[in-house]
Amino acid sequence: MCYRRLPSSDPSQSRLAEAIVSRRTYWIVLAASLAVVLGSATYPLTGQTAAITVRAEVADASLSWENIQDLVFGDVAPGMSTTLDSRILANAGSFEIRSTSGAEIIVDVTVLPALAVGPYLDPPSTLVTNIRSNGSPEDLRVVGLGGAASPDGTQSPGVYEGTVTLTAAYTGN
Amino acid sequence: MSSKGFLRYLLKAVAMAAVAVALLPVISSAVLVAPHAVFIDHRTRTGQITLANSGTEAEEVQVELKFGYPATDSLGNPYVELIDEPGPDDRSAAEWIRAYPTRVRLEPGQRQVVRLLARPPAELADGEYWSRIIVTAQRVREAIVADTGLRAGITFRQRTIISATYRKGEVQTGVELTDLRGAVEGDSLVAWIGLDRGGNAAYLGSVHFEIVNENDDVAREWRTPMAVYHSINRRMAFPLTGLVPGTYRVRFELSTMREDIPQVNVLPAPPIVRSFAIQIG
Repeated sequence: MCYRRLPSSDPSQSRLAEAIVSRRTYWIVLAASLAVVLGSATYPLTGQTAAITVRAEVADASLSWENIQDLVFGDVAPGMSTTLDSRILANAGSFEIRSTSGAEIIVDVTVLPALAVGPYLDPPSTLVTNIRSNGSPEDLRVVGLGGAASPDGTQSPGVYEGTVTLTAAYTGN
Repeated sequence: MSSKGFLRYLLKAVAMAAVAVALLPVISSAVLVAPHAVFIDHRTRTGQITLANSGTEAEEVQVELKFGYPATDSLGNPYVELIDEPGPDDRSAAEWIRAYPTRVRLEPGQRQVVRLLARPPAELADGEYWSRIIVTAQRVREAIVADTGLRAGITFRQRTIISATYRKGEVQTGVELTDLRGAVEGDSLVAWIGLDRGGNAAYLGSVHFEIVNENDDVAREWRTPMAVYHSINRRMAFPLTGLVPGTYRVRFELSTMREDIPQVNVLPAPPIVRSFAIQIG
């Protein structure tokens, strides 16, 4: 996981974080407590007409991710740790993974250890879970990701954001 | 209702509505890749996948091909082995299948067809060649609003890996059962399955387990897909909760029946049937 400070809302600075921000602040601990929190779940798709249409047209024999919720710590206080439990969907980052019934999908969360340095960081580099699809017509799994933000007492004000790569691989099984 | 009471009621209703809206999930990021298994024939040398953004924000999507296949680790767990530099004996198609386009920006609701064009070497022998198609999506981020305090969050880059199979000429497959063991561990049946692939193409099949009691009634059954590209040694665990103590037989059948792949793409092979006894309780 890399953490970076995002630019301010000044239009000259804030178009894309990648262009401006260095990876110099790595103060957030991602406990990386990945958990398959529910075997199946449904969320209302109210207002998601376009999404439903797209899905209906190409959903056969597909593999998809839906990032239902980012892992958002919100306002945090310097010198204090904020932990979000992966098992509580209201707080955790959450995803729905769908695939064809019978397909075997492996979910892998990679937290880049080389970028994850700092006094508070102790995440495992990779967590793997194996999701089996048995439902019909599509199977759905919800994956939750929790973590902890631990800014030190001298952390500068601003918006900080990290990126975690998640992989869903069809094994062929 | 007094005006004060009504105001309190109104505030409460507004607060509840705000909470309800906040609890509604917003699918901000969603990328679909179809199909999850691509088969390309040597005669046409083309294939395609469809990318779709069913989220509410634009996505930047990258498509790449890398040699890979499913394997098992020392604990019997499956994983996808990705190999950056395949050797001459590897049946890799990753170097000579190209995707067009490889980068695309998908607006919400938008679809994009990615063409796959194969340019295999002239001396390519008959058989099957493999690759994995890796689709990486990341939400397009616009202006970030800063404030005077500290705010923190994590966004996600999503990688979807699907299989690509290229078939030329005469292709055949088969498997040899090198190991089959099963035992009751706690409240589960733990089975180990060893398989070696034969022929010049991957074996795509499934395993069917049945637990039958002394009256030959099926007490439990499970079907799980099984792909063998080289050799695998797979551990599987199935729950036995609720079965009364006693002696049971486990029937094992490996066949080329698949739920998730059109049967036209599954190569035939003879089934393998075995059975063994287990004691529960």
